[in-house]
Amino acid sequence: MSDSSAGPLLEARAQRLFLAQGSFAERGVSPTATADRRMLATDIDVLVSEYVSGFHLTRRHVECKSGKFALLDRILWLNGVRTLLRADSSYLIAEDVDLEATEFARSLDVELFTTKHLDAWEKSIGISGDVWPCRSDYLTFDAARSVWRKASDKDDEVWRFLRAALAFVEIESWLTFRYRLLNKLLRLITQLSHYYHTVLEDDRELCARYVFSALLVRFAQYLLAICEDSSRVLPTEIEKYLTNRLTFGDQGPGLAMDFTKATVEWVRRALTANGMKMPTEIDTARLHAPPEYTPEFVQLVRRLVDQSQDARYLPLAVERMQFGSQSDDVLVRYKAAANSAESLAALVRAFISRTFKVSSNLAAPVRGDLIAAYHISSNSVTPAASTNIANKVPPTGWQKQASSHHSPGPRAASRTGASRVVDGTVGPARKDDLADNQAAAEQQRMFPGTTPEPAPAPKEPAGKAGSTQGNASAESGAKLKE
Amino acid sequence: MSAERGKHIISAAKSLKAMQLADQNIAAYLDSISMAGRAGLFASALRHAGEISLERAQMLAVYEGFSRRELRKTLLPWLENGNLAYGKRLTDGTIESIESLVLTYDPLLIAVDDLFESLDPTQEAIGCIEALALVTELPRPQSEVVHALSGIVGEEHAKRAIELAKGYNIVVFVEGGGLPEPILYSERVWTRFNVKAAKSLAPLSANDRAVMIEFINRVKSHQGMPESLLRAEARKHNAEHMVHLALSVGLINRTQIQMSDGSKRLFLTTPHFYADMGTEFGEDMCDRVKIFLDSIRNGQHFGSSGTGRIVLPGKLLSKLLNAGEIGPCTAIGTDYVTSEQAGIVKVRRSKYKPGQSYLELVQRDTVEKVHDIVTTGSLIGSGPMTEGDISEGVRFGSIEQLRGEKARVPAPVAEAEREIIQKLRES
Repeated sequence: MSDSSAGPLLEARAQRLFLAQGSFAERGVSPTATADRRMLATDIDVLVSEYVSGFHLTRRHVECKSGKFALLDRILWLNGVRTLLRADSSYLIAEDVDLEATEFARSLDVELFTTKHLDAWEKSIGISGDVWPCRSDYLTFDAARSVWRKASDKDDEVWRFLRAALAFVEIESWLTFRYRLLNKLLRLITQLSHYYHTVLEDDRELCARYVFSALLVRFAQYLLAICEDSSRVLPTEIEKYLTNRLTFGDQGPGLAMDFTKATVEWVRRALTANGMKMPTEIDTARLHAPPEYTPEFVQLVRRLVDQSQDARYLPLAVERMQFGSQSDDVLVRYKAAANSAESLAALVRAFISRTFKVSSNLAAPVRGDLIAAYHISSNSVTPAASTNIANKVPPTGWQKQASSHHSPGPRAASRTGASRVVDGTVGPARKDDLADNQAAAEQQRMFPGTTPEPAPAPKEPAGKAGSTQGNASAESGAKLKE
Repeated sequence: MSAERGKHIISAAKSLKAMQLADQNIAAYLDSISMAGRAGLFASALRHAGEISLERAQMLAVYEGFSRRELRKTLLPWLENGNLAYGKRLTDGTIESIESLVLTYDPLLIAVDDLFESLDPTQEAIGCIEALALVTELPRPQSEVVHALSGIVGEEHAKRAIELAKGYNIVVFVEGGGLPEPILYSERVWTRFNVKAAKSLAPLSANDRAVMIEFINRVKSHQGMPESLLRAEARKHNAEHMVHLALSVGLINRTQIQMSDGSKRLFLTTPHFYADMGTEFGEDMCDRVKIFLDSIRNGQHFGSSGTGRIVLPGKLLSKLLNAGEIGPCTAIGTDYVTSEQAGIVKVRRSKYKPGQSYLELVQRDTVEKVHDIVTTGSLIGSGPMTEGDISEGVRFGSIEQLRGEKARVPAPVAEAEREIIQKLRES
């Protein structure tokens, strides 16, 4: 959980496990009492969302622990989290679990697993260690996220917006579907598209592209929620119903219109009493006009309802379209599930791109460019040998494959030659990120007795590196070999 | 970017398709129309084809006069870049199949207009499309069209554009028979326009013509309008003779429905009704939709509260579609004779309420189309909805109109307006 001992590796493995089985799984979402980060309750290590017939959502969630912890307390706590998530089952994966508590845990719908179980599970469904589908590629996405988290502290309008959009993805948007959240998501995409049309560079540009893709995945989930919701509406009423929801969010249209009309009337009378006339442009009908994209949106929902069997895999298909790579496709169940909704995923992206005039660069798959910019070497965070399949893969091969299977995005080439990767080395600023995610420490805790490979010596003296890559190198000491 | 202009480009390209491939004038002046319009026709064909192989797409492209090379080098990149189609690719990058991503027709039309713009159209090509737009609105004397075009593309280009438009049937015209000059019109819309009608229109002043356009637009945006309603409106402005003229020359069409007591009522449509719907659904479907639409408008405008007046036509039709029948009430027994004769609905007498009847659904597709018209104001069911529709009224307005209204608001007011709308939508 948010506990720093957990680390991203185990969580990424758990996420990968579910993705490999054709289920949509995500990491890093947090329930909160506020829309921003002020009152975070905890975070959910891995949240699995599956859609069954009739677009009904079923959830599972995974808690990853390492080090010592109070097992029974954690089981009881998980039971509470499951209630919050309205999930069907909870999994607790830890390095070592006292299995005598298994029956007690099961009585509370909590399944206990050790990392050995996880190894076996991965083997049984053919997960090879060098494949990290979509955003389970923690060496890329977690590193990128860490950089952006720091950068977004800057007092910069675009960063402020990106920070808010990321908070929407990770905090506000995921727990429960609401039409007001749908409308907010669409507004964020509008703004993102607007910002992207101005010149964005480096981290801001990549972060914007990541945010777009993450919002698109969330939009796909919302669409399925809308399909389920509108199944309770008579077919001839769907258009009107959705029009009202796009116009008034979760509010009753009648009441909302009454409020605005009454307010305008109030102002009108006040003006009249003071001998003034209400300007003609003040017309409540303008406020109650549905968004321009309403007819297209309604057709999109209808199309998904018509293709409900395939549409169930839409979030996974969008995740793969935006964050996947060809190398992920060795996971046959993942590939089959995502393939079945591939056309629908393209349809959803086309709707968003057309409607909000999203540039093709912003809508392009982003993982290749994130790898080029942020990926940190696996040898710096994982030991060379362990029971973990992933760790058996030589880091350089891992890296090579991940990169080779991505068609570089629009800015990959320029970025590769720019600040992040110079002469096959990762920029020193990323060393701090490593310290942040504590992956190496996690590795040690999870696989005691294994020794991480020492970070290779820098190719150039720190002083020289600093001169080409900025002052941060002085803090980092040594570079990390790519 | 305009869906309306996209429609005109496609319409003009259809006319050019009939010409020989190596026509010099098309190559010199109208290539952009031909290219963009046929691309639109191809995209439209894809829309109805589902997921198809590349071979099948090639067949569709050839039908629109595109070679395999043009499909690969021009059409597919345009479709994919415009998010109009999705090419499923094999691992080596070759396209395995193609599927349309078009949800409603408007984005396709807008994309056609964009493509036209990107092809660097000649002033003559622009003039042809503008001319078609003008004469789609209303048949007009040639000099009036030239004058209007001169303001857009210059007089020399305007004159050449008119000659090209006439020569390649982008617009058609009537002349002779005592007409002082040719009258240009759109063949797609004004199908029954002829010399007699042209002679009646020719002497109209600019003011009369504006009144005529206003009447046509009123009926166009409220197809099935009772004739008495339009006449009453015309009387107020001392222009009833213009309604009479519009009816006599076929600019507005009149249909009647029969009541059970033998009385008749008259309802109006414009030729756009057939032009927009007939192409897609056929003339027979158009006729049936018009009959049932008239019946609903009759109940809406002439029904009495004592026997069953239609207050919310959208809701009523929803119920008919969902439940399969509505009623009982007295008006159903008297007002749906024509619709029943056309086999659209069936009237069933109530066993328990003497004099009252139920209306049973028979032709679902016809009733669905009428439902689309009365709820969205659109003939193809994808039009915008406005507050009037939300409250089940009969107000119709297009998105373009709403955009126009917004654009006129001063910037600080627009900013405040955006904030209120955001609050409304995100609450």
